[in-house]
Amino acid sequence: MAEISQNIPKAHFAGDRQQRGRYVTIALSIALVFTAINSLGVGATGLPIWEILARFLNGIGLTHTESIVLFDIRMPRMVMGVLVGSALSVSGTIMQGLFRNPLADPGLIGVGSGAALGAIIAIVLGSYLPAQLAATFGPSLVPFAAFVGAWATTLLLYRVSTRGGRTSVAVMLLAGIAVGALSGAVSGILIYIADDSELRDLTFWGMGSLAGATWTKVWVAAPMILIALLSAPALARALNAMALGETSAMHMGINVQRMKRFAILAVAGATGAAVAISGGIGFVGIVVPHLLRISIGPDHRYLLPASALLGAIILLIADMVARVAVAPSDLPIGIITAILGGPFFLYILLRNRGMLEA
Amino acid sequence: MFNASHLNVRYGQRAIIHDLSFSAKAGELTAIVGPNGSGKSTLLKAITGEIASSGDISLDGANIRSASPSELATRRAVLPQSTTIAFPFTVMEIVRIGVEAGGSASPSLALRALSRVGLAGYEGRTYNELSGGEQQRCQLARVLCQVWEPTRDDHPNWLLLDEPVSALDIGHQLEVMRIARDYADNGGGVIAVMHDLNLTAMFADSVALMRGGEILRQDTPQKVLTNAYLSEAYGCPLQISTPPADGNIPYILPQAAQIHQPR
Ligand SMILES: Nc1ncnc2c1ncn2[C@@H]1O[C@H](COP(=O)(O)OP(=O)(O)O)[C@@H](O)[C@H]1O
Ligand SMILES: [Mg+2]
Repeated sequence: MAEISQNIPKAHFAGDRQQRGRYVTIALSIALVFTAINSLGVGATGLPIWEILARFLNGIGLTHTESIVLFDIRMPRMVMGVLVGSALSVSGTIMQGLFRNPLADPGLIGVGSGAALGAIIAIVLGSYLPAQLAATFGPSLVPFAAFVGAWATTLLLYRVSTRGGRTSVAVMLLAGIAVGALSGAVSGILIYIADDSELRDLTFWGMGSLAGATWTKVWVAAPMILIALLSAPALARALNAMALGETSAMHMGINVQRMKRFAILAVAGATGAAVAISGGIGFVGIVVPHLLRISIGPDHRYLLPASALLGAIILLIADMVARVAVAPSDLPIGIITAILGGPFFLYILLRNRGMLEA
Repeated sequence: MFNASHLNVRYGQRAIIHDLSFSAKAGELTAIVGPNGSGKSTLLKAITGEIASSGDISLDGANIRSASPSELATRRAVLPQSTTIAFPFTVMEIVRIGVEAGGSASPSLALRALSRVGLAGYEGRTYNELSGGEQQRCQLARVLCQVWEPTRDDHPNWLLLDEPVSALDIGHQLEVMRIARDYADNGGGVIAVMHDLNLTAMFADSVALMRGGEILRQDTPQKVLTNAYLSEAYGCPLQISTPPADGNIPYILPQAAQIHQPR
């Protein structure tokens, strides 16, 4: 009997959604490739991307204009969309698992504000840094500062809102509001001492946008986001056990303190880097995991990769809408995610009202 | 052998447990009984390492404070008094978390555990939509999967259960007590916090009777479940006899004078 059962390692039973998790992950991977290629063709200048691809496969090159639009404008923007979208939704998923609450989203509870504050400080005060230090950081200064801001905020929020393994959502949200207000006030002060070019950089934070994507931005943000994304699967088993509570997780062999430190670093890295290059893009981190939990269940082994994929897809689609909605101008993508995500968030809130009263 | 000696637990300024000694043998079912607030859960939490305490706590001779969570997880599983879950996991998914914690690769273990606790057919149900008793049995299935074999490499495994049957109907109470009994009979150790003194008398090998953070007495049910000890612990008159079928199992009822007389 024991031998037989060991020969069917992946057998699946009623109530076991692993199979569905695998299928959905594969489907999302295919959809992401398709969306990513398609997004290269959408924008103020039309680019017949599938035709170009066919030509390319037949060994025929691109025209000069085509190659500039494709490689210098569309491509970095697409890569940035993928990075930011997956960073935001994976951060949301980890945060929700850590706080044991489907409403915890880095943007919503002030981690985004913390990251933005770090970035703003770096933009404005960066010019006062000793030249040697500034040279060491180079263009990574802003993402690094955003990471530190996100990390400090997450740590603070966790300390303030969690007592004896139980997180109070009300305290968490109120503390997030305080951090947001503080961040707003400090940015207000910094705006007075900012010069013109710094000011232009700052305005961009309010909205959240993928416009102005460059390969430099991609290179400075990619390492932090990729490290966070690639280490996320290591958290999956611990996050599953955490769903039963901190003490049960401990009884099941999870080193809870270490896991929490690790999760907070991953969230801070991904959120910090995403905010540093794209500003505040809201609601992705709460909507994506919620949709996925409905279809494949809350098992983090599938939820984390699927979140990364769906987050990237949704951000690419929102960005395509941003580019054509009021063409030839470029609508900040944060506006689009807010228009779509706001009502959806209210809907989730209504369904989870019990959690807020706890 | 689970051993605690000179155990002290305090919550803030309040000493809950003071200089307590407790032990439980593998191959036996050890029950912890006592009135509400007497420190039963606190004692259990102290010996699982869940709350800070001073004194010696050892599991088969090894200090549990120096063991890592993952080492302990393969030796003992803990059923809390109740468990709330943050996300819409199915019954099957919950039990599988226990299977993985125990390091087993057998995918059918979850099914066997579920049918053992009487939840066959519940695999696809959402945990949060179960009744309290069904949730407790689902958690028991998860805990069983974590340490499925009562012994491993000649070492006993342990089940630590906080009120495993309090939320259950009489049929499932018996069924769960039988599961615990079987585990002990096959060489494993079971420590269970109990409220029902008659079930304790029927199933336990050893009873620790607590009051006010102390163990009044720990011994066999026959020696502990006596009028003198029980009225001292619970502070109410009880009537103790033995059922006709089995001559030496104590049988405990509240004093007849206090019972409503049917007309
Ligand atoms: N987290 C806590 N903080 C302060 N006091 C506690 C805490 N948990 C339990 N106590 C107190 O410790 C005593 C023993 O509680 P407990 O072990 O839960 O009792 P029981 O025997 O009913 O399981 C009670 O007086 C209770 O009020
Ligand atoms: Mg208790």
